[in-house]
Amino acid sequence: MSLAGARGLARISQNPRCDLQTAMVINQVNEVKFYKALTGKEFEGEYGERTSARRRGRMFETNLYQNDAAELRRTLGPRFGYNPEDMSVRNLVDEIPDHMKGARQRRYMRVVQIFASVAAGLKPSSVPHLLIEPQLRLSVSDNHFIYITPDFAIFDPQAECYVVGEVKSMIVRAGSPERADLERARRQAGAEVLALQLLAKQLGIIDRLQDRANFIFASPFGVIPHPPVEENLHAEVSEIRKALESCRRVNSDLEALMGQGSGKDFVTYARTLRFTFQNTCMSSCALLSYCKARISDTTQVLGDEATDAFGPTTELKRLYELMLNPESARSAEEVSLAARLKEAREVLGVDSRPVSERIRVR
Amino acid sequence: MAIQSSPKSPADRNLTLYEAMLEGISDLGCLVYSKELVLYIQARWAGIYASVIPAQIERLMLSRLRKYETEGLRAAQPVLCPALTAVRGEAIFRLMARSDWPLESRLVAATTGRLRYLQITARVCNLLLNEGYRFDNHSPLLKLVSTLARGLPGITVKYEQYDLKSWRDLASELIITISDKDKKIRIDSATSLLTVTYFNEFWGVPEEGMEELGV
Amino acid sequence: MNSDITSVVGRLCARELGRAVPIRSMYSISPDPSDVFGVAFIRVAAEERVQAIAYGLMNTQPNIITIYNPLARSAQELEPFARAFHDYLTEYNARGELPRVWLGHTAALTVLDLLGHRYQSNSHVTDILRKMGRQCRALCEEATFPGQQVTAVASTLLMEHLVTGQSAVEDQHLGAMLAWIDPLPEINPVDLSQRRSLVPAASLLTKKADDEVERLRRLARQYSSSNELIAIRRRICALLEDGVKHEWSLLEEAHTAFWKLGLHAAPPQHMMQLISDSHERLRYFLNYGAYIPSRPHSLSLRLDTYEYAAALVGELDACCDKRVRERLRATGRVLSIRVEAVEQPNKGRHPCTLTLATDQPVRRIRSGTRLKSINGQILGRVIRQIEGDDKQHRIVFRLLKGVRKGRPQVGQEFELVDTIPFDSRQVKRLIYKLMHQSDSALVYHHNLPPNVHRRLPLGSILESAERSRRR
Repeated sequence: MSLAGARGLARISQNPRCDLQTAMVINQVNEVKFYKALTGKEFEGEYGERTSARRRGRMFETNLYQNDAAELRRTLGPRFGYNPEDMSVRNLVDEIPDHMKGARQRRYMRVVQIFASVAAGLKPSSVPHLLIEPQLRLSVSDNHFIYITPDFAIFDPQAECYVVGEVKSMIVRAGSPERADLERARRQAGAEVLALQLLAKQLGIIDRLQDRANFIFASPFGVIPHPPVEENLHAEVSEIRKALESCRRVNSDLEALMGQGSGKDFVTYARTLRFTFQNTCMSSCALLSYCKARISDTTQVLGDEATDAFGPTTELKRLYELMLNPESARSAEEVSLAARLKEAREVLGVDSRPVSERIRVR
Repeated sequence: MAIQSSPKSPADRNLTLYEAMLEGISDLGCLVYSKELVLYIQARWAGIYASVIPAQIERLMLSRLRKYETEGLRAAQPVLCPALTAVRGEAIFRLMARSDWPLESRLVAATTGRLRYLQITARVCNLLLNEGYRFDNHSPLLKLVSTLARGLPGITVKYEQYDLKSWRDLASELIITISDKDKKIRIDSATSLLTVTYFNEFWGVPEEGMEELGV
Repeated sequence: MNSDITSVVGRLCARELGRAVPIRSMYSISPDPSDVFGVAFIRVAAEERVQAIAYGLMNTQPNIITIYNPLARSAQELEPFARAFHDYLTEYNARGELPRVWLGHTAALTVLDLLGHRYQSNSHVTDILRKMGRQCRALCEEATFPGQQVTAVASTLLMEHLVTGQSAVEDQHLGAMLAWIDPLPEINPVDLSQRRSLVPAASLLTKKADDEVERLRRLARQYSSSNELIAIRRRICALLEDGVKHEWSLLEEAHTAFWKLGLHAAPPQHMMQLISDSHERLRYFLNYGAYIPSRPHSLSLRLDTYEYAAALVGELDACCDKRVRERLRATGRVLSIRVEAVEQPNKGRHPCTLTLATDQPVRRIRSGTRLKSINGQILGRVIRQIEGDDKQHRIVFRLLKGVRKGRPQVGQEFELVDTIPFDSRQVKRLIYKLMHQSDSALVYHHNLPPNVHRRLPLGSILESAERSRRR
């Protein structure tokens, strides 16, 4: 999973207490290379998007954006009360392609101009109905920005402002794509809504915005879009706001540490950063095995439920001992824990064998 | 549909890529996106430029334009330049024009996107219907035209079926409905842009100089 | 004690013991019929199109189909699978027996479902493929019902029946989970599971093979010579075949491991209802099509059916599965009781009131709760509860069933469960019919009355709430 832009923030929002991941996003490291630098070993397993998935995503977007975004206009226009044939479109990536120097900053300035026009009361067709890949940004510090690129933004005549949207090639069945895919898309859109809100705030039109975004997913038939869905993203925007705060905190810590001029590189600092191992790490982080090896003796290795039940630092070996020999409890806390464990063991009906045989350190 | 190819003249074979780009835009007769121009070039000069890609011609356009300005070659011969937005004169680097076209023909107003799309659809259909013999390989052009036809209202494009005549007629019909209005907007914009301090007729208004326009 | 902690403790035990720990004592599905159909897929990532299928009867050599260009408009390559699938289902239908189809994991179920969506009413494909589409949809729709007995998804079943010494997220990888089931003594399941999880178990090729197939497909477009094309095609098919064979072997391993868990089968008299319900639904879906309800009345009825099916499963588990019952006891839904007194003025006749005593600290009952014995001979309702000084909790219980021959005697000890299914669908169906006929705007979402803000009457909110309370 990528660390860039909204995807990076979405990842942090799933685990905002992991300073190591946050630092990786801030420094935009190459995860596989970073893993090698950190562990001295080659990364095992699979990383990155598959060619076939990338191809499909590209085809889906191309289908929507080609011919002056004809398909996208047809899909979105009626929902906002526009005749698709009358809609004007600006494709920011066509205006300043990625290979040009300072492309993102220049695109951002153009977007600011468009929003300034909206704030000045201009409406379509003085401003475009549809923006393709408008550039937004969120600041981590005074001179450090995370650039956020929604797939599109459409002018909502009722709200008198743009609403961001995401185009995802994932397939809709029974009215919704896979839950995990949808959650990722919603978090990504949450970052886009927050970036839009910050820009709107600077221009004094924050009251026109709501925590909402439009999603266009694919139907099961090729690259044909499923009808758009508008979703409220209050929770996601709030989570992304926390992720951004986490970014700012880690960034200032890192600047303080690395600014001391000890000559150490980021990898050296990364080893000292706090990390939080949780279920979401399994599907998203390249450092999974690195972090897992560091917590392999504690309850965290058994998943979030175990961490919630017994705390993150409790040793598995001790828990097992307590379960078999409640008498070995050394404190009131352990007595209560031992009682819970004993009860659970009885419920499970696990075979009991001599302790010496049972306790095997792994 | 019968489209016939014929051997190219020796002059055609010696064209540089840049000359091919200039020739392509002239032939298409309107603002052209780099990805469309690439397909045109691949179709017309398949023997020489079959593997050219959009980023390559975008970079070539930019480097030539810089050289054109710095070396003071302005009057020598026309070059490729980006189209500009009509409202603020911002450059659209993937949308290409010729420097010898009048400013208003290089501007993109709110209606120009649609007009341009219809113009190129009609032109490519026409090329395939009447001037197919000029192309080495028709498949890139057919790919372009089937993509373009998908954007026409009420048209369903079936796999490998090219109803070129009806697509061309529909596009031409629609062009008439918006061309006058669009032309007027662009002429007005061209007049007002020329009064802007930072305005450069090829590079447009730099982002830093946008305050000049006022919001 | 909640069930989460039980499952966490199960994981703790599994990790320390070095093997998976069962969390049920009874299989949740009926034994396999004589022939079981298995399907394993390889799909195009994100596109979700099938590019290889291994299918056939379990424990036999599978038939393999590889599709050189899965994005092509033609779907002829799928026809042998469609025919075999159709033959299997038709044969079972003719016999009046319930078929069973095994899949490795939920990703395979998704692929099967998408095959259904794409082909069930596709006018461009042959009749046999449309039939296959309908059959796939029928199986996948049936798979959404609790307690269904047709579609067996190995990873889901294994996760229902045991816990391993790794996290639940890691258990979703079928290969990683299998590493914990009956491992060899010299093998550390933690390491084996980690190694296995490096290879995907989600109907996908490895990333390396997948990217290679994509590269070869691109390359094939550049060649016109038939020899080169044939070589490329062979290479692609070989990669796909390897991938789908790996998926099939996982499915077989999971199938064997599941039936080797050594749990006992559910009593036939209890299982019969689940089987007949499943049969009836499947027949309906195959005959009339499996469509996802979308209108309020049909959607409501579907939810009621889900609820009833879940209640039936709950009853079966509580009554027949010792481990599940223990978990339910921990949450207070199963009570171990002793009869302290019986009050029955006319012997063998209603009314009959029992005073029951229990020392269970967690009880999920209140006045009116219906409870029954696990053999189903006694059924009654809680009248009231009495807290005693001797840590004993007493329940006054009115018998509704079992007042004659099987009436409990003083001093008798037995278990009561609260899992008593109630089939409300007959009544609800009438209500939904009326709802449909009345076509209320509030339900059917059109021509809604204007949204007028209601003003609260003067005074405090509490007073308003008190005034509006129904007396």
